Amino acid sequence: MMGSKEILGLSTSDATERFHKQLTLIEKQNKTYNAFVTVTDKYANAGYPSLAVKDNILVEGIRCTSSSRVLENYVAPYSADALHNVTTHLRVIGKTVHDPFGAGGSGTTSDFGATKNPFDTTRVPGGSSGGNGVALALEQCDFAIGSDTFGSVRAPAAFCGVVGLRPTYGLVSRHGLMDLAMSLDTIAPMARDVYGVAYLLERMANKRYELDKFSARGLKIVVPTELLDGSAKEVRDAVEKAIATLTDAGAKRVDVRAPNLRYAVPSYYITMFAEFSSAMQRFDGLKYGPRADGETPEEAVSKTRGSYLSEELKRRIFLGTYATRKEHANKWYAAALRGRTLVAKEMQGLLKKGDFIVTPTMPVLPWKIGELTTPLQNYLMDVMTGPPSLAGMPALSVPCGRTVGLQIIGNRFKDAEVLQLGHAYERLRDSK
Amino acid sequence: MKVGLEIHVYPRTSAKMFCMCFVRAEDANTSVCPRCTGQPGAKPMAPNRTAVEKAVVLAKALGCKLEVRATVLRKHYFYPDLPSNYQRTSTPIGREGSFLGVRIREVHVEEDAARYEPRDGTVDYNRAGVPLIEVVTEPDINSTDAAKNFVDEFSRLLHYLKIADPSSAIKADTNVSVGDTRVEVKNINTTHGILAAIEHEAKRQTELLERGGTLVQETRHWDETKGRTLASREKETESDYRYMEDPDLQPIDISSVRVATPEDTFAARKRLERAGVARDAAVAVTEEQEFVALFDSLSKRFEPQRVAEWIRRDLRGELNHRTLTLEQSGVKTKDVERLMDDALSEKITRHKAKQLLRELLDKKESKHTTKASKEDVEKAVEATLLAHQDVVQRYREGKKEAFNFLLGETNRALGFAADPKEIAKVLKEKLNM
Ligand SMILES: [Zn+2]
Repeated sequence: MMGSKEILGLSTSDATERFHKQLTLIEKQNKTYNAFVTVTDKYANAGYPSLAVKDNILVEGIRCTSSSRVLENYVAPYSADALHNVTTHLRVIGKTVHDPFGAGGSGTTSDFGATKNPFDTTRVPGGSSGGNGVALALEQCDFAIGSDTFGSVRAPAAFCGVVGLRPTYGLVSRHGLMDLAMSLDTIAPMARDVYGVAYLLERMANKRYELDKFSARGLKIVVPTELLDGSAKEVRDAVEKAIATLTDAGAKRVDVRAPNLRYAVPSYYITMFAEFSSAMQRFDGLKYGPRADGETPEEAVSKTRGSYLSEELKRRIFLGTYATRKEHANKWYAAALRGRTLVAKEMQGLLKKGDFIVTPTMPVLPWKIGELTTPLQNYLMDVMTGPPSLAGMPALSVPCGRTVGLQIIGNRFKDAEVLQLGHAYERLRDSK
Repeated sequence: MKVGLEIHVYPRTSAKMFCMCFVRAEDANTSVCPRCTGQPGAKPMAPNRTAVEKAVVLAKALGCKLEVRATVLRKHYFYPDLPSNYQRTSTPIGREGSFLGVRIREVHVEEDAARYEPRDGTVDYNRAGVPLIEVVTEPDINSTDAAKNFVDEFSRLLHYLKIADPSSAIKADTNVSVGDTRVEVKNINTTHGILAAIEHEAKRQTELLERGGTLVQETRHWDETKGRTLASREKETESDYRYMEDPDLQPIDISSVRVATPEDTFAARKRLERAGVARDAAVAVTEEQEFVALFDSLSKRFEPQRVAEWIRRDLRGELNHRTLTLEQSGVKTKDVERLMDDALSEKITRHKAKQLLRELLDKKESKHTTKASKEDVEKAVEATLLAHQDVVQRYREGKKEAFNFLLGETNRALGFAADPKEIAKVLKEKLNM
């Protein structure tokens, strides 16, 4: 398999040839894996390596559905800010499938069909940026841009054996990313190796990152033990092995307890419900998508929202509306904000004890499609990816097993350092 | 009778509240962008600084205590004039002020909604996101005369402090209670309408009570053409707007807003009267800061009443004739001052002075009405680009709405005398150089 650096060094004609091969591959495999919802017009002369863009990020002139029927025929009138310096060097090959509006962790709930895990089509690819993970793993594309609110690039990165970074909140412009929970949403890069992810982030954030000249020697790695203990055995074993690889290279392991991290999932879900219900107000059937008739305007809006939004979206909108009602606002939303502060403080405290926090990305291996039946079972899968999101910290998922991710978390705006450690780990892992 | 007002003022600024679209446009839906039409994924820009500054100036002039910061809230309700079905409105910028003995509850900023035409089912988004300053009074106005005085003086203050253009409309809601029952009247769109609505509503309530009827607490709508308030068709329900801090925006830092506090209209008037100026002339001179500046300079050399009278009768007369303020006329204050100096020292006759003044005004005016030459357009475009380099930078980064802003600014600099298509062409050429 070619590395990102090599792909970026391809000649114009070689890049075009590779691009065309990938288009053929998508055509052949999409029925099975369903990674793409829209494939961009075939470039006669692509000239650049391929980029997949999650379908909740706008690319001017290309349909942007957010995997939801309410935007089935919406053509983006502008491009996301984060793409401006990326699309000058990469060619958009298509828009990828995800859980509608990023609201889901399995990658299987798109209104246009489930996406399948690249290693086992009976299992989930992880979400919400599932299409990106699958497309990268199957080499249907070479680079991908997704979004991460509470683990949406890290979960599919782990389950599909690729790399995904949630950048520091605020580092990359969100203009052009559809809303899920605005106080937490990030546009986030994915690739098959850390080099590729760093390349994308450089262009998205207008920075330069030096990956080499970095050594694990003397680093302190903080390991919250309850997160490790709470994981499935296969996950625990793979992550322990990865930590050992780092300590063998001279890093020091610091085991800690972090009880307040348990507030992450409930705090997040209430915050997200509230913000999401506000953001989704605009989909009233008057401006976008299909529209139901009604005797009164109110009835038409209500019927449209009732008929064309998925169950999970409606659940989140209802709960958010409930949580922000005048008589409940303090009870729920304010409590969620307090929980969020507790988690952020705990994370900041952990990073005073060492340089990085290391956890599994997902607590389990990819589950069978349809296996998790209640919303709560799904929500609990975010237990690892949630805390850095609430703390606004950068978090990288690097494969440390076929479908297991090692999550590396650093202080706010230490994205470069997180990438450097990920890159160093990748090399140690591959040299074994 | 107890009357309270909620007055909405369009502050003088060229850009919308959360994007760079121009605040005015001739054709429907031409001054719009992804942000002010609420496209999926579009994020607001930081609040328009000028609008915030104007709100601070107004809050100070109304004697309000300034807040350290104001938060932008989302007010949720479904209506076709709201692009995202929520309206952004700030928490108070100042509160607890007083104006003519009427307590001011608060001053805040918000964005206007689009213009919805229920009969045709059309929406014009040119107005969506246009900045508004809202002033809320306590129900301390106790007569229609007091209301008239309040509205007149408030309008004068707005114009004098350059918060709003004299030509720009004021929108208002009012609450009127003759007895113990409070009735809200919404949808008032002119200064004249405010007084007419209060008068009509007070009369309606008094007559109803005299006939032995009972008043209900309700919201009524002002019908300007019929000159009466009408009961709202909508059922009166306890609305819950689910106010929420906008997660896309940082709080507005009011403490960092530095604005000069000019002398207000009352203080200026008092000063003029003390200098021996008659009341009517003092009122006229304090309509415009430019008049006061002329007065201050010339009254050092000439008798104050003569100076004030010249401004009131001759200068203001000529301007009123053209429905212009001195600032809008584009005539330099220095030129007017030289002319007045000659007139007041009787170097030239009053007749001659008026003739010269007319020439001065019409020369400037003519420039506004004739078509701008290609050269004028090019010069104006260059000046705009130079003055707004940050916006040019944004345009180069791919922010297309920056173009509309530059177009609007150039158009305005040319006094709307050039064909916008011509400006757009020149602008594109210069930007792509
Ligand atoms: Zn706009």
